[in-house]
Amino acid sequence: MHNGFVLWLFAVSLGASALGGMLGMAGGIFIVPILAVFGHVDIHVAIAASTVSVIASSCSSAAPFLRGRLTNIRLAITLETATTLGALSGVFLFGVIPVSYLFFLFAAILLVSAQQMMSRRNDPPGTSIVADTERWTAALRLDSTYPEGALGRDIAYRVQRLPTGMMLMFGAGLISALLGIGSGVVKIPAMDTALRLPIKVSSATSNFMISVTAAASAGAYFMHGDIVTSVAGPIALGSVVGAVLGARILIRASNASVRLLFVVVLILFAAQMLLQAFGIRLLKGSL
Amino acid sequence: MNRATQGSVRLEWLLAGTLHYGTSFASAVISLGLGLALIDSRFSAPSQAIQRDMRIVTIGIAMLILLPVVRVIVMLIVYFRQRDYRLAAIALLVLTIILLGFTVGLAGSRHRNTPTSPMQVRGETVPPHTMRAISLESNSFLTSPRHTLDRQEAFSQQN
Repeated sequence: MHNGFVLWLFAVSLGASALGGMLGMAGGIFIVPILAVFGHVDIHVAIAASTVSVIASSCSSAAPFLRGRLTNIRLAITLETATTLGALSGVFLFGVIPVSYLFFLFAAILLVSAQQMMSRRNDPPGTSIVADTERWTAALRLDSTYPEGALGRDIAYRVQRLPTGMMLMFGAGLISALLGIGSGVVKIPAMDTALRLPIKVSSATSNFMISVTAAASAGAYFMHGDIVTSVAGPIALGSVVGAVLGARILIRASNASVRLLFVVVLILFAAQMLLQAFGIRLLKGSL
Repeated sequence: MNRATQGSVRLEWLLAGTLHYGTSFASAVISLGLGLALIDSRFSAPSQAIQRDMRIVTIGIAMLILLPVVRVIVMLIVYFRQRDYRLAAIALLVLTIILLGFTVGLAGSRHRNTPTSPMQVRGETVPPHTMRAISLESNSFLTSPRHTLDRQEAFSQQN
């Protein structure tokens, strides 16, 4: 065991999760490229370790959202049937998909994330009660309310187009298992355009669901022996600390500059992952 | 309606507590193992000692992975006791899928020599001062054809 490498892993995941936490996402999207490119860690090991990090950061940041009644737990468990099934499919693909495809897919996801980060999210139209309660939503009593701090009262919202949302969630689970990320990239369109949830509710609910989705794939990778303790241990620890720190900083950091920094980092990583997909290595890690 | 809302709020606090204390406990176990490993390697303790320390870390990781499973079980029990059988059935389904994931991983397991020391330096691509590289051979199941076969068998058995 090399102590320096352990400390490096801890620092990387702490930084990645803190930065991710500032924008309300898991740090996996940064951890996998850093490990694969700079740490010379095999991409499969990086992805498996990152899955544990996703669980760690999701679990450690869920409590305040739950206590604040922002998380729609009934909707979360319903959508988790789709995300875990997706994750299970991802686990099967993980073993057979060529490594270069993994790099390529990861680069694509990084670019889409960069693009999403540039466009500001607003509450989707029709968030409040305009639509009638739909059949599935009614059967499972998914409609709910959330406290809006600015107004000082509860706002009711309806969950719309559940079947479409479930299909998108299947895709989110698949990407999540395959790439070891929380895959907010896929969840955000699902929550905004299909289910039409208020942003606060969708962020909290998505964060709550991530851990269960990742548990389905992490369980498989753990039993399989892909989770290398000396890599995943420091990363998990760093993620817990980073997620807690990130949630604190979130309140202070100015949004626009952080966003821009992220977009630059995401595009740089995407470029490097693309090069790697074609077998070219420009940036030589100095560590 | 009011009572149902109150029950739901209580469930939210229960889940928040489970996740909060669960994460703290698992992280404590992981840091204990890592801390011991750091100390032991400082004083060049026998490799069995470090292996023991890393086993503690592995247990911590396993606890972290099981935490969301516990969360689903808590939801299952609460919904069942609230006689909300539809949601209880959904929670049971999610639990089944996750446990299926565990089984799939186990079915494809390679039974490697040790779970804690699979790191090998890949000679040709890694400069000597590079901390570690994980060899493709030892860790990717792409390069392990027998195992890939196992996986596909598991897959076809399920379908």
